[in-house]
Amino acid sequence: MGRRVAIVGVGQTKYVSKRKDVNTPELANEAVVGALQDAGLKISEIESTIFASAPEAFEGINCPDKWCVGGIGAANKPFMRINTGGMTGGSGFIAAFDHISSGMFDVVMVVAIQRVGESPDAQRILNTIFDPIYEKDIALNIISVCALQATRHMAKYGTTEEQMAKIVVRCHKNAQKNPYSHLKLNITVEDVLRSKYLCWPIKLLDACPRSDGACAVILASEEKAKKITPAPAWVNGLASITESYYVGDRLGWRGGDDDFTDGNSLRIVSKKAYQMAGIINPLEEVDVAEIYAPFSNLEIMDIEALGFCERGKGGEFIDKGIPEIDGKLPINPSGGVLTSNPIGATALIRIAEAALQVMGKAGEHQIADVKTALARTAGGTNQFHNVVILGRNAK
Amino acid sequence: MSGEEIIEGEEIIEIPGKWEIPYLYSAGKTASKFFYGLKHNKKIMGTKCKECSRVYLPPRSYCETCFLPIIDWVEVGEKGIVETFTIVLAKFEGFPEPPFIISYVRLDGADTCLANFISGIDLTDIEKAKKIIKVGMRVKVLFKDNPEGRITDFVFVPINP
Amino acid sequence: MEKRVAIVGVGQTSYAEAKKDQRLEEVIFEAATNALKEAGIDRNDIDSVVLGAYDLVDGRSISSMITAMPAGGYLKEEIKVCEDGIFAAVLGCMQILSGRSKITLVSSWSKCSEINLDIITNLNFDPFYERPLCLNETIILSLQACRYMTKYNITEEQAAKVTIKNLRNASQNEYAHRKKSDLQIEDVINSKAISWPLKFYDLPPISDGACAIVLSSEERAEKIPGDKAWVQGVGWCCGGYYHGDRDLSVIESLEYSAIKAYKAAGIDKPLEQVDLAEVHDVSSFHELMEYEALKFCGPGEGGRFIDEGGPFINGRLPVNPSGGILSSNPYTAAGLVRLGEAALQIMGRAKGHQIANVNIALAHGMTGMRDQGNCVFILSKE
Repeated sequence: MGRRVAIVGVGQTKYVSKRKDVNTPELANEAVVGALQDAGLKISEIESTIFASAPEAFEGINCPDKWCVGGIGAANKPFMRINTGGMTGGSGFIAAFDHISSGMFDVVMVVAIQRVGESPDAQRILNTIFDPIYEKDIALNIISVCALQATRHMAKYGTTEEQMAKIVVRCHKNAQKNPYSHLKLNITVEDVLRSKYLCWPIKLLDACPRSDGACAVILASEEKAKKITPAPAWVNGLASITESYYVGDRLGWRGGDDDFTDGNSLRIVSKKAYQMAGIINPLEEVDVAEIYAPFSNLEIMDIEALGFCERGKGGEFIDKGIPEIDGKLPINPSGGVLTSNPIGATALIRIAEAALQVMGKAGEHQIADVKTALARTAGGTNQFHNVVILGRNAK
Repeated sequence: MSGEEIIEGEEIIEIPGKWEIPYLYSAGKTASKFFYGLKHNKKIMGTKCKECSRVYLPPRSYCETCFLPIIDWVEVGEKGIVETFTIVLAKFEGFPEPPFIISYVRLDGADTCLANFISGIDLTDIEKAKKIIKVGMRVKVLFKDNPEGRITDFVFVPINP
Repeated sequence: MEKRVAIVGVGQTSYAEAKKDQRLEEVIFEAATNALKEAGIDRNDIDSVVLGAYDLVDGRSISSMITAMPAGGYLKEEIKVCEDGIFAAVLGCMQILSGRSKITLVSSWSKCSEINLDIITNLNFDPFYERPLCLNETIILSLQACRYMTKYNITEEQAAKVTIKNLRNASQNEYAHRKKSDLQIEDVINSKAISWPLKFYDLPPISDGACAIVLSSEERAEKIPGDKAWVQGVGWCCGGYYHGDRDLSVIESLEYSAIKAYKAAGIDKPLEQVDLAEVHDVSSFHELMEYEALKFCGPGEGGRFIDEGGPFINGRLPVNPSGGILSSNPYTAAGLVRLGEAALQIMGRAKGHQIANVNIALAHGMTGMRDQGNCVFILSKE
């Protein structure tokens, strides 16, 4: 296997609807400056940069990475951009991991950004992800596809809108303690249930906001990491997978096990990550999880597929309060994607927040004594999955 | 990055822009044949992998699991099961006026599901509609009078309205 | 840590003006299956796929959602690099060197017949200072060519020789799009003016096509029969964004990339040690600039190098025996094709355009819809 890698610094910008005061390179710069300060490093010590941003239709500029090069201190160095939709920040992180684990670099930075606020219509942009020949004309967008997942999960397992609403309430409450969060609403389950329907059963409050923001994470080889910080977050497990594109192919073939509502490829990839990290009983051994769920129902599927509970019991897991901030396995103490969603950065933010928990730097939303944190990121119509497991101690 | 201080009275500007990027997507032989079937025969055809026997709808020219080309066509049934659906209730730019229903249906004989609108359910009372449309319900294909060779040539309607 | 990476299979489709009977996914599938066949393996042997593609060129946002499957990605690790496909190969190598993958399938493609590259590349320019000035990739290339010509007294005739060489070479390449075995200097000079000094034949065609390359760990490669092309060195770099910030007659990020690649491969005299090069000839003038950045000759000597026959098939250092991009331009895949062609030469599988005794080959790819990013690979037989 390759060399050990650790996270040594994290930077984020405050997530808001629109940052009118900066252009895209300037916004990315803020996250980079934050990460360098956190790690106590100079830009000249970053040997290579990986840029993660999702559909450029949001920024309205093709190859926004090339525009940002100067602003993020990446000019005249090795550089590449990654785009896997919502999972972009997570894929960028894995690419950065490989940069170091391969032995080619010792200190690299991944910068992830999205300006969802530059365009008034995110869903119209997201309609362009669908097959232009067979599917785009069926008025599909991310909300409708995630709603399809919800109705199917409800039909299979009896999941309820109330259970979905509990997730929303928890995330907003957690967000109140996160200085970077976009939304921090004081809401109840009834408020969520009363909010208007977008695509049944998904309501306005079950859905993520549109946010501008950037995040930067600095990774280092074992040798360098130990010199940079006394408390790095060690990357102990990571794995990534893609399932089929067509949702119609993922609705159980001849009763087979490829139903997208069960997250089976997430199941495969989390097992791989757990094995790498030496985790046998996730519910006992994972101290905190940051999960990529831009719509509340997706968190229920993820809880099951990550092995925190049995298939179909995700709703019950919510009812028992296990993911609450004072529960057995806090989920999204940062407020998660339901409170901040700068799409291309969101996956990296999950990893950054998991790192902050392990490093003891999560401030007011710090969970006590975190030895192992899990970040789950997703992309496309829940087609791409990755799981990253960070630890206070190297595996 | 700090620029000059903005002097009072000067505005921070936003410049409007709009992308209109023309594309001419090639459907390829396989999809073209499928659309021909819709337009001229009002028939829905899928492709079948010789190796795993999976019948793909919409049709594909390769099986992604066996990673082999597919050349066999099969006609699928006009009826099928709703595997999942949603009722779109919000207005989205560029989309039809709500409410409308989107669904994935597994037509008889196909292994994968096909997306399309569901019509023929009264959506003036959404609560009532939610009781009618269900995962597992049977629907049938209804072609429009003058199909054009596009996926919107047909909709799904309940078999027993 | 794995020590080395080998290229064990290369697959291409033919490059043509418009492949109307195939949708994008089918073109990708063709190249991927060809590559697996060449390597003598099947999809089950792959650990991961790395794609090189741009959303706007593909006409689909998050385009790897739809393109990962025909590229062999079902239930595999998948990642898309939004750069020329040669950068996907860079990441693929790192996945193998980190030990996380033993076999990685790298794919890249373009169906340029479905899009308008001028509109798309105009969108690369920032909306505040540059886009309204009607800049696009072709116009930026012509600005560079003008600067280069003026600074070093390079002539249009010298640039024309690049096109003549490449289109003649292409006539021996079964996959090539544009082939001309008897093009003359006047034909190039008198061809339709596009944006001075660039004329029709100074620029590539726009092609549909795809390329896929199978990368293998050293240990796994031992189990695959046949010749391999070993990666001895790779260097890549992205330069600054604003063209007004730099001297456009020099491709600095290519110089940097070459220095890194040469150092890793132990090359200090490229003209003597490199047997063949496949470079990203995005215009005839750019190939001359690339001879200089790659240190085949000194600054400003690109014109002289071609006058003296250096880059011809029987010259000191054949450049673009495949015909290069001036003959076939599957846009996003253009740099990956250079890597594939260099590998084929090393492996002795370049058929009609095979050069004899190729032990060390250089492949160069460019990204960013101008010359902003560059990457150099050095491949060897042993």
